[in-house]
Amino acid sequence: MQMLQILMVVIVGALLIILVREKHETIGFLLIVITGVIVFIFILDKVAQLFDVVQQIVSRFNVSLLHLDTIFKVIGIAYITEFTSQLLKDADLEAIAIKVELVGKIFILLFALPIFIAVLETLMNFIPN
Amino acid sequence: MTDVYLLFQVAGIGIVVAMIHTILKQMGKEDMAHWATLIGFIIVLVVVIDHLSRLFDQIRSVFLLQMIFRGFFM
Repeated sequence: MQMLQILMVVIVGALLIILVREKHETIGFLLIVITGVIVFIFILDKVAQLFDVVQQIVSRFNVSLLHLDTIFKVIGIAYITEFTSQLLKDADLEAIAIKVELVGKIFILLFALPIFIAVLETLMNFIPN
Repeated sequence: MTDVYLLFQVAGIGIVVAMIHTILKQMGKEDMAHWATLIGFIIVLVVVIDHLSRLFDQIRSVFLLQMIFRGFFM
């Protein structure tokens, strides 16, 4: 099955990383990056299929998911931020990993702002002034 | 299956560069050894960055993240 194949690739990658890390630290880290990229590219196809299914559901059953694209964007940002910060944590760069997570949160907040404003407006309508 | 070949390629370059470094050091050409290591590292860096950019392009297309680069977030 496809999943077993990717697991084998990751195990082989891990062995190679351990091998190269003794002799050459930096190239070992680059190997970690490459293994992460391979796994993420493999996962991305599956996520793309999931999103197609969700979009079909929304269009066929005219379920009015207002901010579907914002949700996709937020998931995408979380996806990349997680990838980068875990990578930096692996290279013992905790401080920079935290900065990367901060950047991710700020961008997610920026994308979620219109929804937040919409919610506030609906709330304000209920309050009789 | 090409992913595994990529892993082996990068690991091979890393090991070869490390060996060249030790050999040149024993021959007494210390500075040449550092140059060889640097060149090997740059080759691997180019390969890795190429794959990273491909990953980020795919992420951008899958997650409809077109807005980020035009500086307009809403």
